[in-house]
Amino acid sequence: MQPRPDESLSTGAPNGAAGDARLRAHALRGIRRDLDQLGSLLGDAVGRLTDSFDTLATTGEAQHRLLVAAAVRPGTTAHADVDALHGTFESGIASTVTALQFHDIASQILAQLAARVDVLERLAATALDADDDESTVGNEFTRTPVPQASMTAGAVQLF
Amino acid sequence: MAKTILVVDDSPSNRKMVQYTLKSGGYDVVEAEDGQDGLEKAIKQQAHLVVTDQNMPRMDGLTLIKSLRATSGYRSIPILMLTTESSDEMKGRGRAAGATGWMVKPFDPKRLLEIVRKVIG
Repeated sequence: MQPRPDESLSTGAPNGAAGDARLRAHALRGIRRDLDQLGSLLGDAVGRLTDSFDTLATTGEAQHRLLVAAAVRPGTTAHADVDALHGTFESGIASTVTALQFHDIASQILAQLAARVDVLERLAATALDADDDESTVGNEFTRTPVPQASMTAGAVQLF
Repeated sequence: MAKTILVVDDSPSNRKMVQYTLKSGGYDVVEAEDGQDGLEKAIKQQAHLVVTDQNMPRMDGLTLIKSLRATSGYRSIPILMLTTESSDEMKGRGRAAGATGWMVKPFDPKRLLEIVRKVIG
């Protein structure tokens, strides 16, 4: 995922360099607040999802044991039904396991965005010419926290 | 006796998911929150396999692998990178450092278990 360009930073300000700097600083404060809020919301959501995961795992295993016990008695649930139920359950767990990993990925993206904001904040504060700082800005984004074209998510390569 | 896998990741939710997956496959799991913690725990308890993230505070995954390869007991132990990093350049660095394999997040639980069984049985 590439960060989207901030359009508020590209609109020409009529008040010259100082006006640009104020505009950028204002926009960046808003971005910072949004990032903090997003991080908080994401953490809360994952916390709840993790709790649900724990509950599902515990009750699912207990249910499986009970159903197996019932299946061995005549006239109760068949093994095939129990296995099918457990298969469905395991599939749900696998899906949850995959979904929860996006917290890690989103956190890295947030960290990268925060680094970009830090750079722009410094630019705004010092009113430096953006061209002079391009090399510095580029160095802050050398990590690739999301999958690139060479390997897709979930791909495995043994050396 | 179950084989022990050291899982190194700074994301608590990710560690939990890896731990659940590996335990469901019958493995014992030791968790570490970054490379430094992972190195200390690896020395304290011999693991049969190390699964590590790359981007972590204090010590990253590549540095951990290099450190483990220089540590008695870990010169030939399989080490899997489990990371969001997926560029050829990073994979090359991982291979050069001594990684056994490279898996891109988000991982599929069944696929992870397949790979683990393949490298340590």
